[in-house]
Amino acid sequence: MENKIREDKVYSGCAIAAIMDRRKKRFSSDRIVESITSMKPRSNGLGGGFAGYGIYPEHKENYALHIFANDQKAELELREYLDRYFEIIEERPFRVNRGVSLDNEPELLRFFVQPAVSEIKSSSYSNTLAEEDYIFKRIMEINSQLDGVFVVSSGKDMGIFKGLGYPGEVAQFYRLEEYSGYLWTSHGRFPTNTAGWWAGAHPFGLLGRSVVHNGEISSYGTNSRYVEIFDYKCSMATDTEVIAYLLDLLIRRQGISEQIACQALAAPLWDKIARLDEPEKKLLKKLRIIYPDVLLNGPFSIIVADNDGLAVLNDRIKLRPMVIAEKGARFYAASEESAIRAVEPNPDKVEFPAGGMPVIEKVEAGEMVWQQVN
Amino acid sequence: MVIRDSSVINGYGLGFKKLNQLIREKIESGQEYFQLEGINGQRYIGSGLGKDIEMEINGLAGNDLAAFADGVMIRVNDSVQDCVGNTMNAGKIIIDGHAGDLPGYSQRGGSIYINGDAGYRAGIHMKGFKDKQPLLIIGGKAGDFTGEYMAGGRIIVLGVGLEKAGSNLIGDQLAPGMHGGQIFIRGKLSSDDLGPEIKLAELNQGDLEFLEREIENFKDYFNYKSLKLDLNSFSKIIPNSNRPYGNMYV
Repeated sequence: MENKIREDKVYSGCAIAAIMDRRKKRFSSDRIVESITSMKPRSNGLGGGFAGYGIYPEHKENYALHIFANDQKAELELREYLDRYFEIIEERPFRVNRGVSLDNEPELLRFFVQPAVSEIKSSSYSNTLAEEDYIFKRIMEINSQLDGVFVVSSGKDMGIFKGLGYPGEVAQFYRLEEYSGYLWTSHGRFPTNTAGWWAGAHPFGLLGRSVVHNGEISSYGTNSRYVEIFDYKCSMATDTEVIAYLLDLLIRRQGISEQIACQALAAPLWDKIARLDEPEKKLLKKLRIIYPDVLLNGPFSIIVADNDGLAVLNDRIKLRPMVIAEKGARFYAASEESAIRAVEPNPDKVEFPAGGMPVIEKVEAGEMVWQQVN
Repeated sequence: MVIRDSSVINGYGLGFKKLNQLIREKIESGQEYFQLEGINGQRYIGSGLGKDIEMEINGLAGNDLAAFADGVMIRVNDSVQDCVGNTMNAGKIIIDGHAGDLPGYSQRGGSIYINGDAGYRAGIHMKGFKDKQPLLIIGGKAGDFTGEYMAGGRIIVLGVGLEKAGSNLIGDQLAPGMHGGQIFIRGKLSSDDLGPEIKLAELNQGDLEFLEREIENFKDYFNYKSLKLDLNSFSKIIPNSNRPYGNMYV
């Protein structure tokens, strides 16, 4: 594919950004669009995307599936599959902006679904974990077995909007200005080792959790073989996908806290562990021994989001940039401080998280402030 | 620094190419003093510029400020992002706020003064040759890997206003691969701070004079009238060997 930057030099980098309102007050996507587009020189038009949380309040209880299908044949096959395994509460086509043309556009589909009742009854899917496991299995099946079909977003009250273009183009294409949420993450891609394609754009999501990533996971082989044991199918041909699956495995299925999961992903170097005090030393030693295949090697900075908040994490020797800031109830994270200042010129606090030290921020528990949408 | 007959350039909303193009056009027409307003993250400002140029930047300077600079004088009345002074050959950069990662990256000459903290890998691969000895002063704390692969020049970490100095002013992994230059850190280091490639050295008269001179400059640039630092409290770090891998491929 031709490089859309069409210039003599590609400036490289990848850009990530996030904005969260801790009070769960929803705000327009224009903030995150402005933040990520301010870092345009970091991406090259071969991938851009956004994850928004709190965007489908009218479908709070239903799984929102955003799906790419390569052609109409793939779409037909998908529809048959969905009819068999899901109860479709609503099909809502994307109202895309035809004024923006993105290369290789697939068929875009959106469904709000519940597991099919007969399936649930026959398989004793009674609690949330089991229900989510059901959704997980179906998504893995679709992505790996239905030719040319990819479920790119599958959480409740959240959605991932991504495609082959600069983040600003992708936002315009999906008419992102029509959505409001309490937490937004975004990504501008500069593909290094793998192709630029629609499903390969970030964020990567599974159920409610999504990941945006700047870097390269050189342990991808080890990591992907490990998650395959647990029935994850790496079908997007991009290293970031495996981070989303590792986190789903550790946090949702194994019940490990986000903090510990992040420390398993970016475990400190052995000489650092040796200098720590008990009981932290014992814990980190244990993590490295139990989870060697979970350790992410290579440079990365990631932002992980779910319906309850976000986590910011750098590789342990911090080979990629990351800045966090806050202003009142708003929390910001970005690859560059300028991307935060572009939307919040006077933050109360600016910090640079250390390598391997997760920063975990939660929204307040309780009901959302729906009336105060701005 | 007083900017005389300055040309004001408003960088608000300008991409880095356009901004740097404007600056270069004005330089070509004879302008030597610049005030940049509305800067937020534009890269490569002052890049490659020579010794007659002076700049005052209002706003957050983007990555690679003064990269390959060859004598330009820059005052930033705010902070800078990553890689300030990348491979800079000569000149002076004075930064009121903090710096991101990699300040003084491969710096080969000139001086960088940072009032606040610096991120990871300050002074990575600084180098020095004869009278070309770069200088990087960090007023606050420095991150992990300070002085990584350092081959020459000098880094000073002051930790102004911080009671706990020494090990608390740097992160982990001080100067791995260092094989030239000197690092001065206020306060005492612990043995954990010293990797296999570096060691502590006694301060000599020349060091004390150098520290006194540069701390005076620092105080002057950032208006610390009453700041007093005990010069004898500084730790001096030098490499164990100027050729640590001499036998590696024998």
